[in-house]
Amino acid sequence: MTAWSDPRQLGAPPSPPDLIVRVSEERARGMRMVLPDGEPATPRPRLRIGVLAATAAVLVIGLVAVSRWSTPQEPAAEAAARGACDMNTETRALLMTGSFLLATACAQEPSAPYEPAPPVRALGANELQEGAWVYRVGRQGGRITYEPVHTLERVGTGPDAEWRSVDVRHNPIARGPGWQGQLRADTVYYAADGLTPLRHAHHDIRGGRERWTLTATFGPDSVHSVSDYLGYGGVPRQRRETSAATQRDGAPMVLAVHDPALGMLLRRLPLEAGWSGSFRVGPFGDGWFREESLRVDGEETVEVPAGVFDCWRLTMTPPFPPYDYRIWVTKDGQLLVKTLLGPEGRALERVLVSASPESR
Amino acid sequence: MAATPRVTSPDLIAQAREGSPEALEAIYVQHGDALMRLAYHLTGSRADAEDVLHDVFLGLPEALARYQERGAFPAWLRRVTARVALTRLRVARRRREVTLETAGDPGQAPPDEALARRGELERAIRKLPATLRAVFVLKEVEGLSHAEVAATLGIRLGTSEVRLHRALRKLRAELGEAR
Repeated sequence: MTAWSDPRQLGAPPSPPDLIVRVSEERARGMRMVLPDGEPATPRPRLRIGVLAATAAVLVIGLVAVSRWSTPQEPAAEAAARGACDMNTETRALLMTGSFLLATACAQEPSAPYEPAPPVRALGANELQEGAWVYRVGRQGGRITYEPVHTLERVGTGPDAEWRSVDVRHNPIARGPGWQGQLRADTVYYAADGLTPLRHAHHDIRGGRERWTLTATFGPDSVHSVSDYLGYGGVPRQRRETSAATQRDGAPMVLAVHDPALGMLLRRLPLEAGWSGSFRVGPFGDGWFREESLRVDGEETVEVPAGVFDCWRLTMTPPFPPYDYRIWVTKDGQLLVKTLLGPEGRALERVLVSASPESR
Repeated sequence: MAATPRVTSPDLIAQAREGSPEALEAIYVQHGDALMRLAYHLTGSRADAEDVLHDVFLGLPEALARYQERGAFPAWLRRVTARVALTRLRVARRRREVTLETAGDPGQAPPDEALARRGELERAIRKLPATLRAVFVLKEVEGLSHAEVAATLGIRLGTSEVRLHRALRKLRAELGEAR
């Protein structure tokens, strides 16, 4: 070979240090990616697979045709009477999601160590306040990863006016054509009582294009989610519909749509020294929920850009450690002012920058 | 990022499998640069390489559930990354959206001849068809054996040798024209 023959000396850009921060934050929000197998692959005998596939297809078609021809069709009413049923939405969703994702969801839902917190419908005593809150999120001592702005307002008129919570997060350090202008937004509508979710829409926009949407519609006992990865970066489009029960053992579960509803939930819980409770957070990308446990660890005065606040210090423990979320909410009004995710010194930190109306 | 020994303990893998962000970060610190280099040379684009890395780490805990620990962890991680990058290339090719960045800043002259040659080689590699580039990058840039290249790409050993031969022939022609 000639002078160019040392390809191992070829340079490459270093791995961006903030990429793993984005990944951790997205995983904490429930985003996942199905990767190809990493085991050594054997060459694909294309012709043999083609022949086998064609043979299998012919056999299946033949079997279906024979069974339909030879078996009288059972009327739907009779089938229903003996307990048979059509493939329902949940079954279809599970089939679409696949056993891998089902296993993931099941593995992440062990029982919580605390008694369930009061159902959301019982938390309506304190009225929520309209307002806007600006946060800043980034690795401690590092750059800002994104700047969430959370607004809460009443929409409609009269006693049935719904609450609308909008959470917009802009990532100022996202680079490259695939990431530039990254913007994520959650809009959640709540019933007039302030904490019963009705509808949730999540939008993920990168490089000026919508990449992922998630919409959820809540019924009295279940939630129906549609997750649509619109296909980007070599990943084909993936659309999934799932339905999940919001009751367990006949008792209604405390239900919250994750971030930004966490802040609203915290404002309505009957926090006091020694309080603990558990609740379900979700739905995440594939329509699953996870059980979170929350306890009040003590009181603390914290300083954030928005001011100095006397706070309850809480720990939220998801089912798999070490995802412990440390949370500070004001004792007066239970406004979320600070969160830490990860080890002290290099945790992902969220702090309140400003509040309107100004919080005490 | 500081160079760290590429030994990933079973404990760390177990923690990452459970979704620990600290364990994922530790693996990223250990292997991020090597994986970025692989993804960059396979995709030919820094932005695509970053997206590949992002996707790999976003799905790593669930993928580790299928890691059988039969071979070395770095090799497993490299195969996953290569396959994510190649899937990305395949889809982009179907959409005819392959965008290859030019090496370096065209406004700046390379400081010396060696760098200039390196730049020429990078440009020539990016012009290779994806199938040939994958074999060339894994064999010549990453230093894998033909058996490992074949296992990574799911091709026969002989196919790997033939593709490398074709890639080298094309590179020679390309670089000959460039001079």
